[in-house]
Amino acid sequence: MAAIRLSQRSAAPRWAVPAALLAVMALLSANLFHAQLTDPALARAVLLELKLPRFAATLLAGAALGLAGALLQLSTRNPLAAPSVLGVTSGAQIGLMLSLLLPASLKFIGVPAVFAGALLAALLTFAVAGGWRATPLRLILAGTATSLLLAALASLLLILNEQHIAGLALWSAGSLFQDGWGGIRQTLPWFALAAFGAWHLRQPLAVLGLGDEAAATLGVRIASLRRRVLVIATLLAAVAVSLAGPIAFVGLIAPNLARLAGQWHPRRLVPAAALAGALLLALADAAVQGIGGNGGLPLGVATALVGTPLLIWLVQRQSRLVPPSNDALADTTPARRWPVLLLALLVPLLLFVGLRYGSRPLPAYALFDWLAQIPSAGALLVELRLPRLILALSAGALLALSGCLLQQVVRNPLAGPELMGVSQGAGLAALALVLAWPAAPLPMQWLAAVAGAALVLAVALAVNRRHDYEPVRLALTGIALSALLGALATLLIVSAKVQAAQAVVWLAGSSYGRGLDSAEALLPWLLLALPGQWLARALGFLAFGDDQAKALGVPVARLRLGALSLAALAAAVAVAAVGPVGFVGLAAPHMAGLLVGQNPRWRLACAMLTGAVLTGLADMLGRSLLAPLDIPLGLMTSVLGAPYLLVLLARQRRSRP
Amino acid sequence: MSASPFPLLQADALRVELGGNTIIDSLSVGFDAGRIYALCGPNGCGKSTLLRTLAGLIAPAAGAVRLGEQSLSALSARERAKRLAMLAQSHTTPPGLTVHELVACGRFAHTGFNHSLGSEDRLAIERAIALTGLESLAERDLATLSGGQRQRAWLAMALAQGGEVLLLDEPTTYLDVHHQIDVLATVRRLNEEHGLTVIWVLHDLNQAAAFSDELLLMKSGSLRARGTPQQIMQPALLKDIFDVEMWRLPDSHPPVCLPRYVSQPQEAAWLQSA
Repeated sequence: MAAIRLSQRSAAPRWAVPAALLAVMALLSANLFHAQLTDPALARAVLLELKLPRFAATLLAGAALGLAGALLQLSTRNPLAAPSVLGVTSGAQIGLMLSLLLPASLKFIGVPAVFAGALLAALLTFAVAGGWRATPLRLILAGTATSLLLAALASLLLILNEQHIAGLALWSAGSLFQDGWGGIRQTLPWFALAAFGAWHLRQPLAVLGLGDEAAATLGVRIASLRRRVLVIATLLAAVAVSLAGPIAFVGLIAPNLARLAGQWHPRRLVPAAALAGALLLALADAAVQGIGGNGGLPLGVATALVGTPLLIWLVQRQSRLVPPSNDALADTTPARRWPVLLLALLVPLLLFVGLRYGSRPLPAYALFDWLAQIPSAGALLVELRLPRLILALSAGALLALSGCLLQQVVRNPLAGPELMGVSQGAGLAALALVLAWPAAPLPMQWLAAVAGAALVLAVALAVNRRHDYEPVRLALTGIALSALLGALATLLIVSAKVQAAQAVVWLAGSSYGRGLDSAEALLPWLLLALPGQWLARALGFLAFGDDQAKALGVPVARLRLGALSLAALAAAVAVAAVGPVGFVGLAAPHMAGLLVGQNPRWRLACAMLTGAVLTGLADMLGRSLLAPLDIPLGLMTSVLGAPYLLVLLARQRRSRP
Repeated sequence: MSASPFPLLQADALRVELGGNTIIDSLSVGFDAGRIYALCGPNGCGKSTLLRTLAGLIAPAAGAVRLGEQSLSALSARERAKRLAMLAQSHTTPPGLTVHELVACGRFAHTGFNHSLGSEDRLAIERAIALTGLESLAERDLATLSGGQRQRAWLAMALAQGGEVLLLDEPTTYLDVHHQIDVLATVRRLNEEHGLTVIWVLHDLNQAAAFSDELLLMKSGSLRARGTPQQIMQPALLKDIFDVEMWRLPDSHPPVCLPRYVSQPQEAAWLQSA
């Protein structure tokens, strides 16, 4: 009965997509011919060489992303698959940057180079997740790791080659600016080729929707079909990245929008998703041009601003969004204890090595000088290095604590402060405070961070209460919220004209130039581990399900609230100290689970140590690898942690049939 | 129909391995055109694996499956699907598909990637829908159908393939007894009226005996017995296969065997007290 009602409801607005498309077309054409220039010749030139190419690029990139998303979602039977979620977009970005670094004589490579980068990223994600039959959660986790790794590598490439990082924010946010028809001319043939291929894959994909085995009996060669889909979808993503840079979101949302408008059958879904993608990007670009003119509002920000509310609304409405999946990640890892001991030994070792080595070796007696407060060169070095190390180690541990608790509370391996938007919320609030009140005292900054984190968590949970905090739904909400908040932070930085270097510190997190007062303020918060340990065991009961836990006498609601508050607090203080460092909160609990098994208390202890070691190592390498250049902490944690997580995932898959 | 010199579908010295385990070893069996065969046996005996191998879904480690005079592995996926249809035990039902669209999927082997339905394709779809009595439901969303109706829709999809052989893996699972008989009788009618060759895996021995021409008993990856329902429905033989004491209803036609739920001394004691 419920199924009948729901399917009728979602089938209602079939006209919605075409109607909205018409409206946007009208809006955009008005924008196109809106003459600000009095000179007709100049106006004509602007129209032909700037506005029309930009409009064409918008439609082309949007359609390409919509198509790519639809193809990937259909072929994996997973409504969350999309080029950006699977790491394809970051791969394409790397390919694009490498192709820009090529000597001018090789410039014709263009789309193929982008395509190669994207294809490699997609293959990596799928290989790690376990091939085409990987469950949605595994796929997204592997894709997130690939994506973070490649995005961090891309940022590193920029830092290495530009020496200044002004372009970074613009790069990662994308832009549709077209200088004549060159970009369109270069990408159009590839788009046409890929779209032609996509058009002919519709019916096989419809058959594939019946299940692998049924499709095989009907004469579909599954492996070859999926290979074809991968190549075509990657080519489409490459076209979009070549035109507009890495734009997240459109590929994920467009097909789901098409579904929401009642276009379920692949024959209708594929063209409808292309249409919806073009529409969405056109809307975002209209916002860019309407609000900020060129450069005012980055496209990625606009896409997130338009897309996030849509996505959250969609997550709420979509009754058939979530495929049944039972995907415990580390259920086969045997219980071990020695990794905890090893990691615990690594922490003092890191402290020692971090103090001892650097751009300048530590003189003898430096530590003694510092302790005795004798002014000397050695004491100064300790003064510089020790706070950073302590900050990095403790922030890593606290982020891991937050991620561990979040994952347990919502029973979702994809939860984590950075994926739930908590880190971004804390970062945004602290950033806003610093911008508004540059001389704000440290406690005020921390308070703002905690308030921001709590607010975001409350929104994410309130939005999902109706669906009992369903894992995939919550993950989507979190992805949407973090994108929105990240976009808002970028917007804030752009509009407040913050220096680019400072901006990167805030976007990626850094321990650069923090003093001993910050370190002293952060250290006591490590005591949060004690209530954390207590909660971790109590939360183990939630794995039985709410009803069973209640029947056992567990105060489920209070427990959840307490654990969430603790998680938000831990993430907020860490973010207040070093900025929104990504990846640690998501990955450390998984690494711990893969190392010591699923006993909640051991896992938490191991996760905190893993987080500390990962962040400490990242900080040390970040400041010494490219010295005197300081690589932002958040980039280094991804560069170090993502490959490790990928290896762990791949190894676990192999050990399981 | 069965006058043809060699069987329509034949397996020669088949060995099938799944995940490193040998499921079926040196199994040879032939199926004549125009007859209904039931594969029966305890769980894990390899009957579903045999069915999937016969359908060409699993490549045998040794031996071969022949369809007519051709080796199944020599046929392309679409050539095979034109001649042989199979329905798995459980299905992924994609959301938002109508019955007609589902049945149209059965024509993939004929239309290929273009999927422009010709008059022949439309005819085959209409025929399959008519044969399964789904005319009034053709435009309904699959998700809104009952379990029995949905199973008929899947059957219609397999029929739309237009092949000579239909393989069914437990087609009556999850159905109530009315809809079980509905599906079995529909297939039997198709066999009688259109000469369709059917091989199905059935759990209910009595249904298998009532609706099939021959029964094949499997155990531990090999074929143990084969014959008409009269020959196979023998308590001694069934005890050997299923390790359950059975007794056969006297004068039952088609033969009916029922399990003994209590041992014979218990039965005697129970009779006395009654």
